[in-house]
Amino acid sequence: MIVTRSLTKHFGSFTAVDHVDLEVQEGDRYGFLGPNGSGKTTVIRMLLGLVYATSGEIEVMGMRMPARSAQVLPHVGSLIEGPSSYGHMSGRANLALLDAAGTAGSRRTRKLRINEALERVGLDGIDNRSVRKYSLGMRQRLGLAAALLRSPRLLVLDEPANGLDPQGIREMRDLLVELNEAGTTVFLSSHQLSEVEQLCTRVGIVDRGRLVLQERLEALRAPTGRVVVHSPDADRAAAMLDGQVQHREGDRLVVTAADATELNARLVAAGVRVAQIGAEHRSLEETVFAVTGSGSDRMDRADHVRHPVRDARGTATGQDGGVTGPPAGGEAG
Amino acid sequence: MIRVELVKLARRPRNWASVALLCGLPLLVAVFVAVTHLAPPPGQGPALLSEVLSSGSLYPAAALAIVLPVFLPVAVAVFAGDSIAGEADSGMLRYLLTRPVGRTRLLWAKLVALTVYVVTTVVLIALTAYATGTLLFGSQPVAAIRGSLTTSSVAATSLSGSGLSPVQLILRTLGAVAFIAVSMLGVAAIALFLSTVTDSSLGAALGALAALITSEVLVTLNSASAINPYLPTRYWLAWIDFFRQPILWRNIDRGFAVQAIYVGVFLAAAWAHFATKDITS
Amino acid sequence: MIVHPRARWRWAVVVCGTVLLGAFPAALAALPVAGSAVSPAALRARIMASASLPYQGYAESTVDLGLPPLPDLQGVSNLLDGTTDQYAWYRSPRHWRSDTLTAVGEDDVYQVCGATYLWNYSYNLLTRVLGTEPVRLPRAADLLPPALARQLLGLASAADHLSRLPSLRVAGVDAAGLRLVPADPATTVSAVDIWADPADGLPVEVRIMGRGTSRPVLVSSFLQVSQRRPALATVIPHPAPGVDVVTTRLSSLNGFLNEDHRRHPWPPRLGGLARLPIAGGGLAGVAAYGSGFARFALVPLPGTTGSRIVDAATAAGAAKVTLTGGTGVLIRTPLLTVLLASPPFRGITFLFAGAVSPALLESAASDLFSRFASRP
Repeated sequence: MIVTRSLTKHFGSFTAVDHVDLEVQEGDRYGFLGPNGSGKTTVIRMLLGLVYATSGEIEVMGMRMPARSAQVLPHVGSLIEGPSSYGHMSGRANLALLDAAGTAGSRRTRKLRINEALERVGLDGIDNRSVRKYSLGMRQRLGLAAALLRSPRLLVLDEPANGLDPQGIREMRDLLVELNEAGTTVFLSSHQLSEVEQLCTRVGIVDRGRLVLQERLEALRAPTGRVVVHSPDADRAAAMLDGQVQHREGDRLVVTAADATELNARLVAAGVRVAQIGAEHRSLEETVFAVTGSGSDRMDRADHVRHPVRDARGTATGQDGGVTGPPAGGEAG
Repeated sequence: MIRVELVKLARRPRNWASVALLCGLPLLVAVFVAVTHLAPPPGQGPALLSEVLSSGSLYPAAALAIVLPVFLPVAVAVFAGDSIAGEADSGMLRYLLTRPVGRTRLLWAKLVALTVYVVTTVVLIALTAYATGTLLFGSQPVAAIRGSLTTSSVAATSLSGSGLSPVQLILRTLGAVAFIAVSMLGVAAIALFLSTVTDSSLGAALGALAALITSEVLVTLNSASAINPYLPTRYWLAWIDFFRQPILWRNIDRGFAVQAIYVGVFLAAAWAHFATKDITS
Repeated sequence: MIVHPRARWRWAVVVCGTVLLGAFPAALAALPVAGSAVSPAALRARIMASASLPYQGYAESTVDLGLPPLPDLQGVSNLLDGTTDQYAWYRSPRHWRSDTLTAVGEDDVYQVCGATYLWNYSYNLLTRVLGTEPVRLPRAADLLPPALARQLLGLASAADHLSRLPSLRVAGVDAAGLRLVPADPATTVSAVDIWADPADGLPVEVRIMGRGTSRPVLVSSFLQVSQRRPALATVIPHPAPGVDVVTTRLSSLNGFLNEDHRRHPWPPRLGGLARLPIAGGGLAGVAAYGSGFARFALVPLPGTTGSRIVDAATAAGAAKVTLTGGTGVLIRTPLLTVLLASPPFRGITFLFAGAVSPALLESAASDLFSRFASRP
């Protein structure tokens, strides 16, 4: 669906995107992860023909971009760096204008398309208030509706959860899964690990302009070969498993063992009470931290490897720095 | 896309406010002149204003003379400066371009919207001024020119002292309206180009106005006479030549040509820049 | 900023196009001008015979005298300092019209057979002047290249030196150049350059150089000219019903003139120059002395007008000079010299003006005052 080869973008002397080879397959729910200012937005803008690459190639739906924008973009819905609209007009009027712009669909079915898109994002009840009076969440939904207007084959969403409340985030996730199951490829960028973890099937991680990892989420979360045991009899368990225990913390033990069921049987057989037992999986957060540096909107003096970074707009986005995730590692039990 | 731009043009309250202001200023002037019967002496104050007391049908031209020096260029520069920069500022530019609307096509649609705005504004000023003029000053009593082969009615006095028939007056007013509209398109082209350069519509408008002010200063400067014919405002006032008898075409022709060149050059520059610009707004 | 490769060629196209457009007029001007082998005397003869040639065109005259603004003479000082744009329709010596164009109006002169019509937009007034004026203030139409060239060549004497100048393209005409250098040392005119159509002698550009300056003090040239004969209707005034029309026999100078001096017999010689006969008997009490380029006009100004002009000139920094039998204020410009001379006892000021040296005017004024002194 999306293939880039050696995609590079310089802004002046600053390299925003550095030899990125993306590969998004049809039907993927692709999570594009990275700290702020790591070049995510620039890559997305290049995919959509807004920013021209300094070098490298882009193919979307098998066609070269930006040369074939006119053929590609009608099948792409996008939400880039937050929704935009003409504040003095109603949401419906905004969608009507957007629908009429570009290679417009039939004028007769426009109303239908708009209603359908609004319904999908849960805005079918909106009145003729001007968008200026909308809440942040409503605007985000409107932006999503605009992206869905023409039943796209590919959805490119840049930080789609911004401004949504937990309920809204959940609704959006359900919507994206539903669309994906109906055949839409979803490419979304985020710095919210949990969002990506819960939604995506494939993950690409970008750091300071370089794609440092691209893998199926399942593969990333393969067992580590260790088992986590919670037991009120932790001392006895530790004594029994001497040499296998890697780490102990109160009644929590991390044990090197290939199979949790076999270990459980041994423990129970020895009369050790087991409160909880399960194979340890790597969390996405750990993976991310393993392959990336700190958030690049930090500016450390010590090393000169790290450049002062601006994001694509040249300004700070005002969001929390760094990659954030759930407080605990993904521990399956 | 052109239709979309026209819808946006028509649905923006700000645009109507600017048109209302532009039509309102001549109205205000007309009311004062009509109430006091004190018009500036001929050759002073806004062109032709002195004549309107005797013939209200000259007021469209006088009204254009009133708004031409400052008001009209400011309104046009603000409108045109908003074209691309305004979309960039509101964030809609990226959504329009990924719709997709081709960049050249977007520029073209903006140009059409600009032209419609400029022409509509100038024509509305002329129409409201005509209504104001005939209402407040009355049209000149139809008189006959004696001595010529045919007796024809006279609607107004030309700058050369001879009479203008109603048909002549209408044609010449239309000529002046067209000339001023084209002059304003020159301003619009400069602002449109700047609008593709910056993401601030105010910056683009101010840039275009700065260019105009520079030009107006240089026009009056003898030492800059070498570049005088190239300046965008050099022939701005030549619309008055439509009201001479016979019409003095030299400066009108040149004015049209200079504005056409400005429109062409700045549109080409806007195209060259915008079509390959990184949209990071 | 990395420039997109396509941006480069697009900009290249735009820049090339702009440069081509901008250079187009310059390139046209740089086209070689067809030379002409006509002799100076023949060219002069053709120019002098060009009065019957019809033409119409847009002329621009720039005069840079640096005269102070003089009250009551505003029209003249505007004309002699700054740029005057006019459009002229010349059908024949008896039928022509010239519009002096301003941004908000115009001042027109119509010559219709024996009558002159002056249209002033500012006053909404058409003035019909009957008869020819033997003496009058200069007006814009005098600066039209054909009129000015013939006027200047008419002043030339046999001693003045004529030569050819390289041809010049003026308003699309490949014009042959003629230089006239006055021999008389008393005049401030160092040279007069005239370019005219070599085929029929229609002058298209005139430049006057003053002594001691390299730049021309006066340049008058056509920006656009055609030899198409204008229609008769164009050169006849058609006042609209609301226009005021007045008829007068008075000269434009009358406003300034002192009735007393109308019949005053002017001395036959002043400053060594002879009085010039004026057709019609010197209607306005004005006298002119000299010959060729070394000539000056003498105008008596009544008390209040005179003193106002003297005050304005003094305020503008004109030099005070002492004359035998009076005082004077001298305005020097690269071309024109003006002396305002007042005898101590009478409420009158004599204005001497001409393209002559200050010393000549001072001696003329002293001569005049000495005659007053010798007369009771």
